[in-house]
Amino acid sequence: MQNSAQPVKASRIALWKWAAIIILLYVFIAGWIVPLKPGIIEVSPNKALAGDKLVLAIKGYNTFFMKDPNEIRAWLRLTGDTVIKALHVEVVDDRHMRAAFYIPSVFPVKQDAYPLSLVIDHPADGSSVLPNAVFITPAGDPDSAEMSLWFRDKIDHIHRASGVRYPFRNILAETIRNTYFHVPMWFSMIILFGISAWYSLKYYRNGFIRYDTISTAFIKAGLVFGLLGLVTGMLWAKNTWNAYWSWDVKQNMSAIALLIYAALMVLRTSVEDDMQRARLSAGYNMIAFVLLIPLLFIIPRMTDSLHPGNGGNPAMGGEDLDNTMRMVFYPAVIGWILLGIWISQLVYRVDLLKRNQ
Amino acid sequence: MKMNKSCHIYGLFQKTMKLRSLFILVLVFLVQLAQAQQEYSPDYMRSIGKIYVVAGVTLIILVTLLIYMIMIDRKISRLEKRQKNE
Amino acid sequence: MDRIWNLVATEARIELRERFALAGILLYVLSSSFIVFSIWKQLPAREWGLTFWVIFLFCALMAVLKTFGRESEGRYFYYYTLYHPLELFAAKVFYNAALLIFIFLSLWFILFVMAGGHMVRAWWFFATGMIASVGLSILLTLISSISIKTQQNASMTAILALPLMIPILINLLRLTSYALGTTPDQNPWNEVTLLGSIVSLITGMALWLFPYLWRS
Repeated sequence: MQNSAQPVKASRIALWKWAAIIILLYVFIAGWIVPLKPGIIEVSPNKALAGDKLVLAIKGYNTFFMKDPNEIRAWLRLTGDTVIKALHVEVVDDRHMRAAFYIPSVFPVKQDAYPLSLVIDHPADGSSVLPNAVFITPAGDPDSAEMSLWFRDKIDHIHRASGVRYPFRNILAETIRNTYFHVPMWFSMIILFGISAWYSLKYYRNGFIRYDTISTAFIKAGLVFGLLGLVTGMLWAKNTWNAYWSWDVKQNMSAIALLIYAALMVLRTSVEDDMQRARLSAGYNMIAFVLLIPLLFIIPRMTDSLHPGNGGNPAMGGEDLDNTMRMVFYPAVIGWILLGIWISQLVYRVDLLKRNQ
Repeated sequence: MKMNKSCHIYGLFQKTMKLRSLFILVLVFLVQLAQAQQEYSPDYMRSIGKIYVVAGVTLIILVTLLIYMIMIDRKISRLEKRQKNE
Repeated sequence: MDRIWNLVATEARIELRERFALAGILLYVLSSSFIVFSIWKQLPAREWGLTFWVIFLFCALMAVLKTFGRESEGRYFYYYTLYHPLELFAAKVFYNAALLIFIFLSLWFILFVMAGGHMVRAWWFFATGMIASVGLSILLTLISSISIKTQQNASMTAILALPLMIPILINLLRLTSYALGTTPDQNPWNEVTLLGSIVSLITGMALWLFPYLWRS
């Protein structure tokens, strides 16, 4: 357009888009920079015999063992209050220490093998736990006098780590940060599909073809977000659950949801007439969204799942999300949703241009 | 034989120069990424508290959104060109 | 109700006039179960259930596919002036449900003869089949009314319907495993409730949307 007769108004970016940018910047910075709480990565050996002395080499993460090395205490815990305290603790450096235990030859419960959790308490780092750190095989000749050893000590006067830090979870480690990147993808996808269904409903009511274009734009953007959720989830799963695809309910259900919407896009390409296409896809879109609810929210809750929030695990609350994480997670959800709406709007504007030509 | 095949891909690339070629590029890139990962993983991905998984996830999201934006951009330029011709 | 019944009867008459139609479905059921059985050689209880529903799924798709394709467009226009779309829909659903129940029973019989019964709670399986037939016939009728308007009718039905069928199918498999006794301690009423709510959800959507999708 050479003859720009009418003055081009300086285009401004809407406030909510600035909000999206700022929120996402905050999410990226806070999500990446805030360190994890100290934790235990691994111990060796992880198998031992009962009724013997055991020296554990402990590898810490984000720990500062050299600070107050004499204040470090360590326990091996069977259940609740059944613990044995380390005889002595020897610090190698900030990340490594050794703890010596005497494992009693008898146990208060009878099992084939006894998984013990390692608990460490440190004045600066706070307490950290490694579940199932050592597996103990029972001794050949149990001495019942040693039973009292289990009940002699208690885990008490636990310190708490100070400062703004994300919790350390053993399998997750740093990947707990993915909560701000992987999880909001699904939130955005559902919201985008929901908005799309809403516009389908509007099309059903009024029959303005504009609503069909809007609803399609939201589906396109939602598909991108869903695909991102799937791919990032697969990468995360490979390194925590050891497989890209574990046939977990939630994985399956979200893949099916994507299939449904991909089918909708195929449906759109196979109808020639504009009105017909708009009507069919509006109808299918509403059916799809209504069926999405049992698919994503009811069925996963009824089955065992590796994901949190399913099979009786608490959802985004309780242990999975502490207050520090909430301060990033909620903005992350809002920011990614806003970005999704922004992208949908771009797609809509392009589609509108294409339609009008 | 190999030559032919690459010529075909190149022809396609030149001819359409559209999403299709972009998709092929992305696919090739992804396959290479997956192969590269297989060589290093899991030790590499799981070092330093699995921080590279977070890096990977962030990168995937950013790269995908970038590619998506480039696709929208191309669409817009095509529309602009068409509008100019009218 | 009478009018719906009339439509169902017409439907059945058209179907039965081409005698191979029903026999064709039966043959399809027979040959696909034969193929599956000759691959597996023997079917333990769990695989029996899986095989059953896979074959049932594709037979149902096959059978319902031509719901709206059977008649010419002129006749539909005629129907449209004569009947309310919901009457037409109800007639199609009844007919398809009957067809699916027929497929269900014949497939059960065939697999029973070929691979044994394995049934611990046969009545539960029967009830599962009934729910499945009704639910899938509603869903598939709705979907085939959409896909008839597109260019590739046959493949479109499969593409649109298969992912939507999965939530139903998952519950059917769970109920089947209860009927087969492969999962011992399980409360089947959870699944029945979920299945019932999904089916009623689909029914509600179908009743609401079919008149809208149908007019063209």
